[in-house]
Amino acid sequence: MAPPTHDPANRTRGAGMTFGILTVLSPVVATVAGLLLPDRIGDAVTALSNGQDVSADLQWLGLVLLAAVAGNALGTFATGAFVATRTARVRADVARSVILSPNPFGAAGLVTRILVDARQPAAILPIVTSMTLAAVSVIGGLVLLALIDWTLLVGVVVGLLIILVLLRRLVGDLSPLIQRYRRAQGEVGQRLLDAQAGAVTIRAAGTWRREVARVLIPMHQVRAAGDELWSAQRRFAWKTAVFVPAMLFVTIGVGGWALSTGRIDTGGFAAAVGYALVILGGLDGIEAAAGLGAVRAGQARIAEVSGSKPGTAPRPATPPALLRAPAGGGAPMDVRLSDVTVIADDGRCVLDRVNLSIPAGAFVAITGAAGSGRTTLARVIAGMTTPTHGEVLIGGHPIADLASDGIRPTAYGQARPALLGGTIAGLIGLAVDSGPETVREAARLAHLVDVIDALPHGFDTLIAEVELSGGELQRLAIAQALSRSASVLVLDDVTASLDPATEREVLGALLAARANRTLVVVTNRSAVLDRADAVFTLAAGAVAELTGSAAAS
Amino acid sequence: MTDWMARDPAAWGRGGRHRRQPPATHPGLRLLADCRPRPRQLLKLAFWTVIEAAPTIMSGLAVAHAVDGFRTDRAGTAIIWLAALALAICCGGLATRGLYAALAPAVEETRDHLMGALVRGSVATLAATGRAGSAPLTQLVDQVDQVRNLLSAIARNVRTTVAPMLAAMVGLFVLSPLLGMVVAVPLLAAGLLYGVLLRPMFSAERAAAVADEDLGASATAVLDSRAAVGGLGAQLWAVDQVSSAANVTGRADLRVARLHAWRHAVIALGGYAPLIVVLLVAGPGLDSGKVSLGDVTGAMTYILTALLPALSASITGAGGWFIQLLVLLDRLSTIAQVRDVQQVVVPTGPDQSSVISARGASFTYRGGARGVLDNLHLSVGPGELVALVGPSGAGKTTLAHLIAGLLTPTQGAIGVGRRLRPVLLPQSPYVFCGSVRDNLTYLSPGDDAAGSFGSDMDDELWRAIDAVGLRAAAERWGGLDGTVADSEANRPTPSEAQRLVLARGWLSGAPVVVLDEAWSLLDAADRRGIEAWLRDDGRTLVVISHHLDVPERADLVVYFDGRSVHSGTHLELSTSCGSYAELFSFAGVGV
Repeated sequence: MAPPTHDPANRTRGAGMTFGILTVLSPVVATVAGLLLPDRIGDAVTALSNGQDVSADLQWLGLVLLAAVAGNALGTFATGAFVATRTARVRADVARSVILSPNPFGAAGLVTRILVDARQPAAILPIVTSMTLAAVSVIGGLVLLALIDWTLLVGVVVGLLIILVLLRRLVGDLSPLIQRYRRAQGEVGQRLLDAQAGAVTIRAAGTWRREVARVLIPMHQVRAAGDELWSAQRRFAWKTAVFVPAMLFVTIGVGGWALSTGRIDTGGFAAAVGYALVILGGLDGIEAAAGLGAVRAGQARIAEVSGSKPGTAPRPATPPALLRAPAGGGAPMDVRLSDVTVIADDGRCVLDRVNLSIPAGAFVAITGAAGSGRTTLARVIAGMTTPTHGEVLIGGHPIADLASDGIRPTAYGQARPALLGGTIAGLIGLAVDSGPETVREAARLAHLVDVIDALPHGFDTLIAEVELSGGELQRLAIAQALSRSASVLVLDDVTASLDPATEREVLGALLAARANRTLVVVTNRSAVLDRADAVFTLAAGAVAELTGSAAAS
Repeated sequence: MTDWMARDPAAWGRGGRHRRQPPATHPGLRLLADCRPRPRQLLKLAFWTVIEAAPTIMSGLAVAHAVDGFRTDRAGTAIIWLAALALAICCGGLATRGLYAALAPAVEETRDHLMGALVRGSVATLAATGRAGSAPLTQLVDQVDQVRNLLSAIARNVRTTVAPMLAAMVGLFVLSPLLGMVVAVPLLAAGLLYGVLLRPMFSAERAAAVADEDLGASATAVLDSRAAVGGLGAQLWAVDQVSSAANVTGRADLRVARLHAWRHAVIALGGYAPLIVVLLVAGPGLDSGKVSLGDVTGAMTYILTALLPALSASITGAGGWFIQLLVLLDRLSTIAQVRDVQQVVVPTGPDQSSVISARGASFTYRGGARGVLDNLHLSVGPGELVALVGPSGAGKTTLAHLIAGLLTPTQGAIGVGRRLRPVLLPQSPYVFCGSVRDNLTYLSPGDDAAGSFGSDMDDELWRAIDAVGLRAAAERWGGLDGTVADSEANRPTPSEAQRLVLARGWLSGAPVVVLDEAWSLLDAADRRGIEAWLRDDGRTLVVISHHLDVPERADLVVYFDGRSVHSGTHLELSTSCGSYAELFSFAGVGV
């Protein structure tokens, strides 16, 4: 562990700042050297044509070249380093927003945002730097060219204007095309994930060839968008391919005429060609503007998942202690819902003015037909769904006040565990500051110890190495939920895949565990309903029936 | 659909057509070689590349002769050379247009081909094993796109590096062999230095690619379990996981940046050194009359207009891109190597008069110490309901997979009657992005199930939808032609997915349907209704369910007590098998 005064985040930010400054300054040195270069070459050629000694001119030339190399090398390193450090930060920020705030996107699309789109914001500084310095090169080149002879300016300026107009059009063209291309691609990825979930069905039905075709359906759109991207680039490329050499041609022509009339000497002519090239090189730098299209598209996709501009929002420092919640049981708390109403996005009323009260340490069951709102009610109690109207009080406090950064006094367990943590022990004690005893205790309560001990490496077995049945997964989900210190534990249909014998044993364990937490179980299984202190039966979004000691209206 | 992947991968590289493919050390290159563009496209590319180099070859020569012409009052010669340069420039513009037109389909087709091969490879792996391979599928699409970007970048880079460099050297040697020589030497030295830098650059780029992949795997794992992570209050832990992986990518990219800086030494050697050398030899050359002042200006033009831009383009771009491309393709090629997908063969039972029969069937998983099934005997008649009962992990799913032919018994025989086709509805319901109709008829016979049915078929689909209680959901999705699962919001809930799959099982028309926990989320009344409806036309049902009402109604119960397997009617087992009876004494009534 690092000592507390040494904040690695601050250090990388400091290093990022240095890299950022160098990203801007080093190319400045290289640009100035680039502007001096034709002048030095011109002097050397003049000296040559006059038959003089060129060694002094060559020393000067060597110095300028050295400055150019040093500036470029340092600039390359600083730019790469700046993009690397900042991209890592933006990626962390995007990951933070997609995990902490709700969004309607599939996993595949979100991973693309972290992997691909998060690279874009960091690209702005190098792009803007090279665009600015390109402009400096172009303007500086024009001035120095005019100093040699003003007639040389004519051809160059005309060509320049045409290219600038073309560039502006290109940047406008690409951004929506890139977005369309990426969206179609994301669809292919999502379809592939779907097929992964249906692997057994595909294998049993022998339909894998059909699946390949189905996954590839959006490729038509990918191809169409790809072709359009190419023609946009082609329109730009062939025009620049003519105009750029044409500028050089005009310079040589005009310069040759000036040379023949004696207005400039051979050295001046060589310098003029050199400056025309500096100006053209500057235009290449302006071409970096094409990258702005990709930057805009990437930023737009990141903005879809995070309200603020990535990388600019102040990031609250999370003390390492908060990353892992305390383990084991806490103290049970009571739950009170008053006038809770949930209206779905499509306007359906899922829960209609539900009032209920669950004493601390009680074991209550929620039951009801499919679509009666039982899962929504469970999610509201767990703080996963915010009601449209009404209030949820946990231990007398509004649940919204208790939740900070996603850490709630409640936990919500589903039929499938979060398959994270690397090993079985890591999975059970996921994000909990737990020792092996806590993990083993949770596994014992969920009746998993025998299953786990039979695995090749027991609790240290890698999750990826084992194939688990539905029932074993459900018990893992229960163990995962039991290992945390939530005062209110909501379990949604976690015993559906258990055989009666196992269910009975798990149920006994849950009853024993409620000394430390209030238990709310969504189920239709009579074995569970029979043992509950109270049963809320939901129908059409309202509590239709109540048995037992809890209060509802 | 192309069927090139169906060929034996081991046969690649053999035979006349593949003789020129790279050696097997780069499976990635082999993957690319198989996407080879048509010869016509390559010819077009080569032709336009040569034409595009014309302005570069002409530039130095035109400058040299123009300078000499203007200096010595032979303006006519100068103007002729300038006109030739103008012509070359126009040809170059045309060539660029042609190059892009030839490049676009070549790159896009390669991308399509690669994507086809990889999707085919990964889906075949799924189908062969019933589970995903080791490679994270979400990244596949991005990696294919990186290949596309790299290919087009490299192709465009070749036309701004190799071609102009060669053109400049040709022009320079034509102009003055002496000047050509003094430029060629430092240029070759620069090439050598670049070669030395290649190995460390390759390893740095590969480390960066691996770091990116790890980040993708970490993000995919976390985001796939988003709902569960939220419920467990593990969001900050999840954020920390992904952030650490992102930091590793940052460090790897930093190392790449450090090596990139060294490349400027190559530019200094190959581009700047020739400038000084040319000016150094120019003095004595002019004195001896071997070179003219025009020649010197022309040589400068070649170095400044062609060599330097080409060098910096090749150094900052192409080299690294080529390395990235190799690294990527090597990784992708493991996915594209399709394993042999053994089609599931409908197993024929030992007793052809039974719908399902088993004689002495045993099964042990490869490497497993204990047999899951031992010497099982079964005989199931038409229309019967078979319940598989027992604790999790006792072998119920194994038996279901044996009946469906996904597994073959290690001893004995098990299977269905002749011309019967079993349909398996597994634990995880498979609902895919597509029309409600396609989802419902997924297991129905006939390839063009969607198109050929009239309103009769539609009525049947709606009957099935009503029977499983899915009408409200189906209408929400937009009816039979509505699309389902094309977005998170449009994804069926787990119980809707189970209902849809049950309807699919009925519509398959299969005489034997095996349900592996396929209705675990449904209510008792719904389950009973659907069970009766499925059995309506004499269908045989094999049901794995933890709900105890099923064995009570079953004609045959196969009970797995965790050690051995018993079969018989519910009554028989209740009296003969203690642990079986105990299940029911606790539950009291079935739900």
